[in-house]
Amino acid sequence: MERTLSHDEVAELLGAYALDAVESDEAAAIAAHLETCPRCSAELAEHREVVGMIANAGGDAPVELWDRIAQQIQPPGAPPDRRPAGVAPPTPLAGARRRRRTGRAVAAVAAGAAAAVIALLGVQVGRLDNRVGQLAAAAQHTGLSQAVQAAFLATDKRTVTLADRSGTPAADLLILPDGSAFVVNVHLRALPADRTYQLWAFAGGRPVSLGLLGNHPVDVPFTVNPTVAATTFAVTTEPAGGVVAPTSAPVAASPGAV
Amino acid sequence: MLKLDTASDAALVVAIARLHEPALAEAYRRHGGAVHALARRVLGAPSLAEEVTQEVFVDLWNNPQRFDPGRGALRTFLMTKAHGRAVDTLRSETARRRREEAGLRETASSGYDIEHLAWDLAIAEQVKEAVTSLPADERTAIEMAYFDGRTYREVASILGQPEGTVKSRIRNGLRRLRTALAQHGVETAWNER
Repeated sequence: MERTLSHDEVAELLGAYALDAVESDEAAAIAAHLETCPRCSAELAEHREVVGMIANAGGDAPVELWDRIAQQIQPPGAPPDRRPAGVAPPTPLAGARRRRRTGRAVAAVAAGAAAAVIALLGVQVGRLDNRVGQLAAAAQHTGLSQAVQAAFLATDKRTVTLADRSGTPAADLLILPDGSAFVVNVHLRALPADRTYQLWAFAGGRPVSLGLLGNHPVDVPFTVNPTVAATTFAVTTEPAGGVVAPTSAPVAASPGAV
Repeated sequence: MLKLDTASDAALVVAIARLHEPALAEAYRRHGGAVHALARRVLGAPSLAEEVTQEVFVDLWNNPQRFDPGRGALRTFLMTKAHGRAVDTLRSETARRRREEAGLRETASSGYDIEHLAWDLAIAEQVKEAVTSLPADERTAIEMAYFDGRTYREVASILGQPEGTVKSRIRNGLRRLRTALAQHGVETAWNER
């Protein structure tokens, strides 16, 4: 059911789309249009914000439901990448969760070929919490520079250099073990106002957006999901507002990226 | 240490990305009630609403990077997810059967009661005022689509109105609501958390 809708047709449907009230073939066509139309994306975001408010009929969150959620996010036999290196598998549930709460879980190691990759982005919670909390706070309250400096000074960061097509360094990624990260040393030319740079990670060959860098990036914070084994990174230029999947070849990429 | 009760939603999501379970608990405390109430309102059956709520928060845990604080509030993000999942459930046949068997769904004509629901106190009055100030046909179209999970075509057929009319009533109604809420200074209520 390939169906294409014009900009005007999509625009007329944006209200209904925000309410999940379009037919499924229309939804697919609208989603495709949104990837390339910042104007429609912006209008949709506004509608959704309003919709979120009129729906705001909440009482307290049901407590017993939280217990079920908590169980589901840390199932018995938790994945190996959440376990400290060299430690025997935790006793189901309580073991895994309590150790994280008391803050002693540190490194991440997995068996087999994935081990190296996962270890690179591995989870280090616990003792890092303090420092990361301060980093996040610094980023929020006093601007970026302090947080970036702290990231530069961190001994446990991973640095990834992105190079342009001629091999000249275009930017560095500083990735901290907890997943907070920064794009620094950016040498990317300024783009027109209706374009943006977008940063991608490739996990299992699939691009995952890590965020928009703006049309004239300097130091930009982003977050890497520490549980996703992202091996390579790339930057593309996209319409302002960003896209769900890259629409152009990377202008800068880490070694090994396609 | 991150102080959870005063942390911004964006900071909570950063902590969630670090697998910090108390941060997810705090996000649930803040937004779980609204998410659950919406799912309940759309689906009727408590068990289905709980499933949707659970999925929404487990998904936030597994894929925190899907939330982009630059593009809207966490509440909006979660409510969008919850509504999408609720509607998917509603439109699946199994669920329809389960619901009918349980006899839990209200009839379409009795459901338009959003002004009777319990509102988030800080913005309750303004939102209520904005909603009641909508022209009745816009409000009806929005409520039938959103709370009953109907498509605009279904709404048009139920009301015996052209599809194009219903489409534009929904869109215009949402725009009107936005303007009305902005005039009351409501728009940033969740962003400043």
